[in-house]
This record gives sequence, structure tokens and C-alpha cells, in this order.
Amino acid sequence: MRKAAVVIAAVLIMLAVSSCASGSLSGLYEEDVLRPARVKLDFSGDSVTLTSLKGDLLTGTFTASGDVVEITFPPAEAHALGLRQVMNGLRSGDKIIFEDYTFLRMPSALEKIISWMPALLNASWITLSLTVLSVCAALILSVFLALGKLSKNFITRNLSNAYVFFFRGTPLLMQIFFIYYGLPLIHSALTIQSRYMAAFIAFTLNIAAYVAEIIRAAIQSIDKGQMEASKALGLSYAQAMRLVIIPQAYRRMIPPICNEFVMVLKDTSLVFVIGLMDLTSQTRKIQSSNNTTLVFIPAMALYLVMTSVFTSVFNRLEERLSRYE
Amino acid sequence: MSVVRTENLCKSFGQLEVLKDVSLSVEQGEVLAIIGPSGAGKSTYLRALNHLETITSGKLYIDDILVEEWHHGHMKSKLPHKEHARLLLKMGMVFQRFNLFPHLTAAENVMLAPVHVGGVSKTEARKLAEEQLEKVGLSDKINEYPSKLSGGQQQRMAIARALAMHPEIMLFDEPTSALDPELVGEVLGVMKNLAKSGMTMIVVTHEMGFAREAANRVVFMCDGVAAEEGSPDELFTNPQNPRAKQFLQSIL
Ligand SMILES: Nc1ncnc2c1ncn2[C@@H]1O[C@H](COP(=O)(O)OP(=O)(O)OP(=O)(O)O)[C@@H](O)[C@H]1O
Ligand SMILES: [Mg+2]
Repeated sequence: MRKAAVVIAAVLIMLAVSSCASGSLSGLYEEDVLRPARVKLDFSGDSVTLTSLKGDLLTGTFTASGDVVEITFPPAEAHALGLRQVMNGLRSGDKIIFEDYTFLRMPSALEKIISWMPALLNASWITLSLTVLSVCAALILSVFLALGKLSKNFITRNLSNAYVFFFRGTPLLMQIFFIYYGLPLIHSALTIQSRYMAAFIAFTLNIAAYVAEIIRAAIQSIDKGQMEASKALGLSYAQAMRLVIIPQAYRRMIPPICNEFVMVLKDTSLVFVIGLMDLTSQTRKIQSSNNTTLVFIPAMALYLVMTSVFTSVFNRLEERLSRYE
Repeated sequence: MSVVRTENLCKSFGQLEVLKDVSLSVEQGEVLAIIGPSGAGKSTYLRALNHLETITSGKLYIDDILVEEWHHGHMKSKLPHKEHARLLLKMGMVFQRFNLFPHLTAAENVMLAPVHVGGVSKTEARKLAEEQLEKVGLSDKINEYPSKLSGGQQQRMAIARALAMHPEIMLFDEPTSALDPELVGEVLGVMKNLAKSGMTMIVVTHEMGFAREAANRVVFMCDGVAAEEGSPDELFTNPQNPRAKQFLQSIL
């Protein structure tokens, strides 16, 4: 509960700081031109020759009728420069009539963030669902891997070890790349149509290797006496594992598995290699098309919110499972 | 009829010979105490009986049935798996460090094996657990987790857990050595009652008072050998083996 409050406070502070910062920056000379704007200049007060204006305003288009010059700006960053030069050429008494108000009044940081929110939330959903689905699928797979690693059977043990060796030992980025682009080259039947599905498979396979190690370590950390007492009572190995060892190992797995969730949440940003729009990719896209770093603030806040959801769920789980201690 | 018997039981860990030709037998209703210095192989002997260690050589009989026979690390004969498991179930074991299941309550600890091994229904097992826990004086702790109990209570709970499988013989491996001195009495009390009720028992112990009072026979084990065997009176008052003499002098 306290953690959630801290996160919310952090998000609010970030938003406040960001709106103050841009408040001081906003104004006529700000580079953020969001839409084409039309400006009318009235030169009746004093003389500004059209030709000099033309020379200064590199990309605007002009129409003149009497003393009024109308300039239409296409949507690009350079136009503020042109406008600034027009302003420099004005004399007292000249009028500027802004027909498109949005050009002058910069949207506030909050308005910008709100306008990005749908795209960011959509991308967060990809990030979050990919994380949760692949970690959950990996949990199932990893129980078998962990038991395989602990098995006395030579083949099972070595297969599990080889699996973990491979998926921990190669970059996740390459695994994602390989599953989406590489598999179809081996055989067309191995083609995975959906990028999301490809990412899900790659993450599941990769995470399982890490979680298998977590589970193995947790199982091995349980006192040997537990297995002996189970055997002495006549339980089979499988029963002892299921009824005695694994229930105790659960609790010890929770902190590292929570950690795994948080790591995976951030690792999902690697899906950009197969063109999937997760939160990081979306953020970078907004950043480059709007030429602003402001977007990182809501993006980081969204990551923090997701992380804190994981941590609070796992903390509660851990508390519940600790009741016998 | 002997409940448990070993013939020339040997156990090595690699080069280390821990048990050398141990031949012992325990009759129905008998209480056998095993004493001896640390590292003598007492625990290993109990663990070998209960199949927690595989033996290197020798024969193991339960109820006069040859359960398994080994020769220099090779199995010469073994009962079919089901029969083997059935006979091993005739032994209940109590450990020095209790080895209770910490994630289960007292009742659940006792119920686990009857339900999952004995095939008893949960309601029946619950009744059984209540009975067994009452026997060891823990009626009021039925729903407590082991961590909430004292060492003495935990060990009594472990005894109840073993008894719930209705063993023919109980193996105790230094059941009181992990206990504070003031808690030893309550556990020994439960064990004495158990002996009185006719339970066959093998007790590895450093409690000479208990061995003297409750045991029918005492074995002195040293360096993996059952060096001397006799009634408590004989062995405690007039040991023949020089190592036994020395050991008894050092602790009495
Ligand atoms: N798993 C094992 N691997 C190797 N050596 C072992 C193993 N278990 C026991 N030993 C060795 O076997 C010998 C006998 O051990 P054991 O535990 O049976 O002695 P003990 O008579 O029960 O002693 P204590 O009174 O200290 O419990 C010791 O030297 C011990 O180090
Ligand atoms: Mg011992």
C-alpha cells in the first residue's frame, strides 16, 4: 500500500516538474510546430518590403493584398525561424493577426502527455501482456526443467542442462530475431505469422531457463531432512516433491521470480527487432516524431506503475505463504 | 520372531567403512538401545535399516523376510518394489532434528502419510491425527504450525506423525540431543509409555538413564562395529570391551 502511494507521488511530481519546465519554454519561438499555421501580417504602420520578407521566409507561401501579407506555414520546425525574422522586420504599429491560434499557444506538457496517452497505453498493454503471459508459460516449463536438472537420469539431466546452457548463454535479442526471421528459413512450416506470438515464444523459452535455475536453487535450499522424513513415512519421490518440498520452495522462489517479472518487463523492449510496438518502441517513436524528450516521463511512470503492481502482488503472496514461519 | 534383523551389514562411503559386519536382531516388543561415541555409525545403521542409505554388503530382514541382500555394492536380491515398500512401512523413524513439515499444521503433519500413502480418507486421517496427538500430549496444539511449538513439543509431534502409520517398530535417532535439558524429560516420558505399550523400538541415545530404565538390551557401537551387546545391567555395570568401559566412564 505504502509502495503504491510512493509511486503515485513520484508520477505526480514528474508531471508537475514537466509542466513547469515547458511553461517557461513555451512561446512564439518554440520549435514545436504541431500544425500548419496561417499568420496575417499588417504592414500599414511602417514599411517592410515584400522582397526582403520573401528572402527571409524561406519556406512560407505568401499572398499579398494591400498592406496585408498572408503567410501559410507548412508543418516543419524551420518556420519558427522564419516567423522570428518577420517579427524582427516589424515596426511599431504593424499588426500580426494569428488565424491559427494553436501555432502560438503551445500545448501544455500535460496536454501533450494526454494526447500521447492512448498510444502509450496501447503499447503498455503489449509490454504487460507479453511479460505476464510469457513468465506464466515459462513457470510451467521451468518446473519440468528444474526437476530435470535435479533428476538422477543422465539423459533428462543433461537435456535440461543443455537447454539452460543455450538459452542463458545466448542473447535474448538474437533468440527473438531467430524465432521470427530465422525459423522460416529452416523450414517454411516453422513460420510464425504473428510478431506477438513470436515474441511470446522467444520470451517463454528464454525466461524458462532463468526460472528453472531459480526453482532448482529453491528446491535445493530445502533441508535434506524433509526428503528423508517423507521417505521414512513412505512417500514416493514425486509425492515428497509435490506435497513437501515444492510447497516450501514456493516461498523462497517468490522474491527472485518477482525480480524476474520486473526484468522481463524491461527486456520486452527488445521486441523492436521484429517490429512490435511495445512501450519503449512507442516512446522512441513519439520522441523522434515530436522531437521531445518529454514523452519519457509518462513512459517511465507507466513502467513504474506496472513494476509496482508486480511487487505488491508478490509481496502479498509472500506474506500469505510466510504464515507458518 | 524378529521384527528387524541384519546379517553382516556393511556400509562404506567411498573408502570410508562406516559399518563393518553389523549383525543385530530385534524381537517383537523389545527395546534395543544403541550407544557409542560420535562417528561410530549409529545413525548410519538406523538409516540403512530404513533405506535412507543403500547398504554395501549384507542382508536385511524385516519380519523374517529377506528384504534385500548386497554384496560389495552389488544388489544380489531385492523384493519386488511393492512388497519392499510395504515392509519398509513397518518402520517408523524419529530424527534428531525432528524434520517436521514446517508448512503444515500438527494435524496435517500427522495426516499426510496416512492420506497419501495409506489411502485413508481425510476425515478418518483427521481422527487418527487427533488420537495420535493426544497420545503424545499435544491435543491443544492440533492446529499449530511446528514453528510455534517448543523443541520437546515438536519431537513429540514427530513421534505422533510416525505412529500414525501404525509401524511395527520405531527407530529413534538421538531423539533428545537437540533439546534443551528441561525438555528432554517430556520426550523420554512419551517414549517410555510407548515401550510399555509393547512397541518394538531401536533407540540411538546418549541418555544412559533412559537406556538403563527402558531398554531390554543395549548395544555398544564403536568404529562401525557392534562391539558389545547385553542387558543394561551387564553392560553398564560390568562392560567387557575396553572401549565400552572407557566410553561409559567418560559419560557417567
Ligand atoms: N553421507 C555421508 N558421506 C560420507 N560420510 C558419511 C556420511 N554420513 C556419515 N558419514 C560418516 O560416517 C561416520 C559415521 O557417521 P554416523 O552419523 O553414523 O555416526 P554416529 O554414530 O551417528 O555419530 P553421532 O553420535 O555424532 O551422531 C562418520 O565418520 C561420518 O562422517
Ligand atoms: Mg548420529
